Amino acid sequence: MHVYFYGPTNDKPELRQAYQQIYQALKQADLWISTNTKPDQVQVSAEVMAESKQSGVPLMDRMDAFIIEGSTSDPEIGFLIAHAMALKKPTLYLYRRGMIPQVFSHLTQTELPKFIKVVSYTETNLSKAVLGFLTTIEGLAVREIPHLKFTLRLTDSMDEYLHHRTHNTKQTKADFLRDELKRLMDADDDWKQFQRKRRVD
Amino acid sequence: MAKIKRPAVAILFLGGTTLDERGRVGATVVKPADIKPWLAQMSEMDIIADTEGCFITSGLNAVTLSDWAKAAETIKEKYNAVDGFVIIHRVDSIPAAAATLGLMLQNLEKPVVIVGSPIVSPTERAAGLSSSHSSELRQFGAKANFINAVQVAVSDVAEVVVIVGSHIYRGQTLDFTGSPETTKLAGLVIGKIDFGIRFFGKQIQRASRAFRIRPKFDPKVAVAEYVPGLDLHHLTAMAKGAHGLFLSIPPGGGFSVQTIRIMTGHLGRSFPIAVFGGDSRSGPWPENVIIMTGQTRTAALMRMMWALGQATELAKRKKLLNTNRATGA
Repeated sequence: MHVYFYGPTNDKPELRQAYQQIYQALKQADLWISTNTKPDQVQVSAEVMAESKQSGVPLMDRMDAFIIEGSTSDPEIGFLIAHAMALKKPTLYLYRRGMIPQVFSHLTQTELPKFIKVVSYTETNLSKAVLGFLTTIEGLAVREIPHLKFTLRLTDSMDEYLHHRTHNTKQTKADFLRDELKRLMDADDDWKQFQRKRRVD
Repeated sequence: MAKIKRPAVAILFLGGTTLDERGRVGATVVKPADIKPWLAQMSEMDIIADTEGCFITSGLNAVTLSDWAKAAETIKEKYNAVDGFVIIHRVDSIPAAAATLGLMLQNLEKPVVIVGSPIVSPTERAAGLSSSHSSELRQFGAKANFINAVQVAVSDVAEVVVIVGSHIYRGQTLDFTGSPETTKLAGLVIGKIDFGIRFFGKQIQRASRAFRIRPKFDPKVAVAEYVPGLDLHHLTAMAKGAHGLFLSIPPGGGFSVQTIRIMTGHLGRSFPIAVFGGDSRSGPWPENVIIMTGQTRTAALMRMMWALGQATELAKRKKLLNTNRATGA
C-alpha cells in the first residue's frame, strides 16, 4: 500500500514536530510512504515506479491514500484535495486544534465526500488519528501491537496441534494463533464489508 | 492565518471536454448551455481557483483558425481579470492549436494551458471522433488531467503549454509521432506532475513588452512533400494561386539548390517558399526561400501562415519566420 503525506514547507517548530509525529505513526504500518517533508521524498515499490514511468501517469495517481497536514495555507493542499476528490482517494486532512483551515472557506464540510476525513489534532491524539485512519482503509496491513490480554482454554489435542506447528520454529504458540486469526480476517469478505460500512457511517 | 489571494482561471471550451463515455448530462460541452453542468461535475477545480467558462466551439467539427482567433480574442478580453487560462481542446489538433496560439498570443505573462480529454461521448462518436490511440492519454483520467491544468494555470509559467499525462510540454514543440496505430504526442518537456507541479529549470519568461494578440493568419499556403522524381512543373502549378509554398523534405530527400532554383523560376522571386527539413548549409538559397529547422512540422507550417498573414514584404515575412521559435516571442 502506498501513502502520500504532504506537509507545507514550514519553519514553525510545532508543525515540524507534528510532521515528524505523523511520519513516525505511518512508519508503524506496513506502507510505502512518500512525503515532501523528508529529503528522500519518493518511496514507492519498483512495480509502481515502472508502471508510472511506462504509462506516463503521475505517481500521485498510484497512491492508495493521502494524508495532509493542512493547518497552514498552501496552494498544494487544494490541488491534492481536488485530486483526492476526483480520484476517490481516502484522505486524512489534519489540522491543529483551534485553527480554521483556509481550504474550507471554499468548501463546506458537507461538500466533502466521506472518504475525506477532516480531523483536528493535538500533540496527544495525532498518532492515534493517523493510525485510526489507516485501519479504516480496506486491505491495509497495519502492524498493530497486541496489547489485549486474552485467556483462552484449549483442548489437549488443540495444544498438541499448536506444539506440532510451532516446535523447532522461532514462532510461539501465541504468534501462530495471531497469524492465523489475521489470515482469516484478511480473507473474510463479510468482515471487510462490515468495516467498510462502519467507515461510511 | 495569512489569507492567500484566491486565484481566478478562465476555461475556454474547444471540444475534448468529455468526462464520461456514456454521454451523461454535463459530461461533455458541445454548446454554451453545457458549461454550467460540466463545471458542476468538475467542482474539484474550484478548490484550486475560481473558474469561469467561455464557449468557443463544440469541437464536433474540425477546429479552425477562426476558432483559435476567437480564443485569442477571449484571452485578450479576460487577460487582466484572471491569473491564467485553460483551453480544453479536442486532442487530434492540440499540436496545431498550441503552435497557433503560441504565435497569436504575444508577450504572454500568464499561463495558457492546453489540455484535452482522451475519451469521447456518444455525440462526439456520432460526429466521427474516436478516443485517443495513445495509451498514455487513455490511461490518464480526464478529470485528473483538467485539475492538473487548473493548477498549472495558477503557476508562474508564462507561455502556452500542453499537459499530457504527467508531462508538461512547451506548446510549440509538441507534435504527434509514430504510425497512426501507435501515435503519441512528443515534444520538449518543461515540467512534470508527480505529487505536485514541478518545472525543470527556469521556465518563467516574463515579456518586456505589453501583451497583445496577432491573430491574423493567411491559410492560402500550398503544402507539398518533395520526393525525388516529382514533376517540378506539376508541383509549381499546384502552388499557383497560393500565397506561399510549404515544402517538406523527408530525410535524405535528395533536395538541392538547383531544384529550388527551378521552382523559383516558375513561381517568381518574391513567392515565399518555406522548406521544412532542408539543410541550410547546402545553400546559397534564393532570396525567397526560408529553410525551417529546429521546430515541428506543424509549428513550421502554422508559423508560415502566420508570417504571411502578418506582413506583405518578403523581408518582413522572413524575419517573422526566423523569430524565436520556441516561445513565439
